[in-house]
Amino acid sequence: MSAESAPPLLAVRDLRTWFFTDQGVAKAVDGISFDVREGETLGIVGESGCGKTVTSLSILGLLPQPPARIMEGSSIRLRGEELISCGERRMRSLRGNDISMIFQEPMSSLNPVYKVGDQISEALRLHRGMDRKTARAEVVRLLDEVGLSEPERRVDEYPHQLSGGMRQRVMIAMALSCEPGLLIADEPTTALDVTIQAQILELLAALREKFGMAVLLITHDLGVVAEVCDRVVVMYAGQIVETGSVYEIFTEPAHPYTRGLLDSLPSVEDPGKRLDSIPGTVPNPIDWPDGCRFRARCPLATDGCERPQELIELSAEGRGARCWRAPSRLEPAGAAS
Amino acid sequence: MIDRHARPLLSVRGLEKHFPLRQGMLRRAVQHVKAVDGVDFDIWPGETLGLVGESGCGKSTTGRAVLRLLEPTAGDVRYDEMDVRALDREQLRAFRRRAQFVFQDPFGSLNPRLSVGAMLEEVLEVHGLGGTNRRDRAVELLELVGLRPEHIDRYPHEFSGGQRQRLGVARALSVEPDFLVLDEPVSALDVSVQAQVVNLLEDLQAELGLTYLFIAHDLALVEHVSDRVAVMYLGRIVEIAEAASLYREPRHPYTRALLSAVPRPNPVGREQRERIVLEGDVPSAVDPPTGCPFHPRCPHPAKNDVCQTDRPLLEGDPGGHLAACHHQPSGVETST
Repeated sequence: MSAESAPPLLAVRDLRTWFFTDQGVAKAVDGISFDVREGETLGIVGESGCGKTVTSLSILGLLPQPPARIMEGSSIRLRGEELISCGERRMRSLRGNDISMIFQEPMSSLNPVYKVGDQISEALRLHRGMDRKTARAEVVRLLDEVGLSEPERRVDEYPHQLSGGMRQRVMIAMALSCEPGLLIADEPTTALDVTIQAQILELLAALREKFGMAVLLITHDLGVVAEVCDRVVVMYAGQIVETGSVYEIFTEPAHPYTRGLLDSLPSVEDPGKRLDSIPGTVPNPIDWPDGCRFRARCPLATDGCERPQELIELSAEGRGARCWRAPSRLEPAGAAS
Repeated sequence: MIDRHARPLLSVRGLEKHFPLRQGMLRRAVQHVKAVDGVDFDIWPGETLGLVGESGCGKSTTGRAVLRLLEPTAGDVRYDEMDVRALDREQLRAFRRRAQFVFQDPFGSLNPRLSVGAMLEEVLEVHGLGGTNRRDRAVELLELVGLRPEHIDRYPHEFSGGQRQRLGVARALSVEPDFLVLDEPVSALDVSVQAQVVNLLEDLQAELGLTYLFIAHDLALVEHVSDRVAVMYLGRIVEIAEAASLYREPRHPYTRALLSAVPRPNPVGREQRERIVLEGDVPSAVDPPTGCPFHPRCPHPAKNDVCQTDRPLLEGDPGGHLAACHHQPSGVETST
């Protein structure tokens, strides 16, 4: 694990992205810090409204401001370079060259009136200065690389002529066109059927291996996280509630919310077993609860949980939990590592 | 437990639903989408049959055709010995008091201008139920699905996704049915809320003796809720069995690929996990492949010419584990 001593590829520090709306200030992302290391796959997992997508859009500089505002004191550094203050022109050059992204719905990310080949070659001509002919050949090579059948023919097709899985392959080809160091994938397989999802996840793993890029995977699907991630960040109500290696998160979850999420899934060993659900619903971002934000739904809530919770470091390797009751229960595991 | 010697509550044979593709000035049907193309199954009283498959496989259309929300093109649907396809308007309304449908997106199926109370009272009125105390009955229904009596004067937009799905269930239960078709009832919900609604559906089933046709694409969830499971591909059932038997010993190569593709929420041993990744996409239901509809994507080593020419029948243990494959594992009886 040489990656662990190297400086992080992406360092997010105390990121606060708030939305100023007529109803009030929605603190969608409210003070989160994490690193993405070179070549690793980091998963950000959480339910709707937890702030995971706003996090990815903040990194990419793609949020409309206003109503969004990245608050004073927030920092997002890519290889040491501050992205929040770098300006739109620099950001545009970084997007594509250094950071790429794929989203959940490839149909809405592709322009319906342009041929897919033209959309990919635009990036190549813009970012890599290729001429039309070279770019076209490169597009065919990329489409072949992402496993699209008959790439020479697909180049001249329109997005609506492709299936959902094929469109996501086109998006991946586009994202790869400039060999970025970081790929942000926001729910990349959520709209796809399970056999197509397996194809896309396998493709992403193969490409990651080949190009050595890091992946920031944003998803609500714990199964996908368990299959592909090296490390995991769990978000709840705009905050990070737990971080750790994928093995730590799934085998010894420290935060009651993480445990609750895992227990809500049908058990593989005993499929008929009654599900444990988390009572209640996610709170409103305009009015996060004081103290621990999970308190009202937490089976362990007690005196002391009304205090604001810090992310407590549980190990030097980036293991942490935002629960003052977590460390004591973690000692054996913490001592072992 | 389920008495399989008893008469099935619902018996479906040779069910077909073809949608015409129209073209030209005369809107002539030039081709047909064979959404459901010859489906057989039984559901016994008190059990849950899970119906799984990928988008476009016909599982939703099957659920709708069974309740005649869509008119079947062909086939036989018997509910408690009653010929569902022969029912006239009045009889159909009576049938709908016994068999109800719960939609995936409760928001799209709830009238935004009606308060919860008004909505439930309207359903009761249409079916001539609840007498003079419809409001009391509406409160009862809310409590039955875990909502509070004071919710009765609220409007759909004031509820969260999970609460809306509870409303959808309350509306379906208002006519005191025996049978529910649940079409992706929790797939729009977050995982923690999913568990709440699934537990509610299981409690209601036990309490009220309901029978479910549970349609979903989430294989782990279907295994959890179902007594038996049917897997659909391109408008046909390719395998049907007791849940445990289907998940532990899948016999159809499509079922095997589907199960192996499900991401498991446990990273331990993930490198060693064997996964069958199917090539390509599901073919069009307008012009499905001849013979076995799965043959162009099938990874089975024994695949041969027969797969391209002959449509395999659902075969196996009579009344038990059935699969539609010419090359079922040895030891499985095929009666030809």
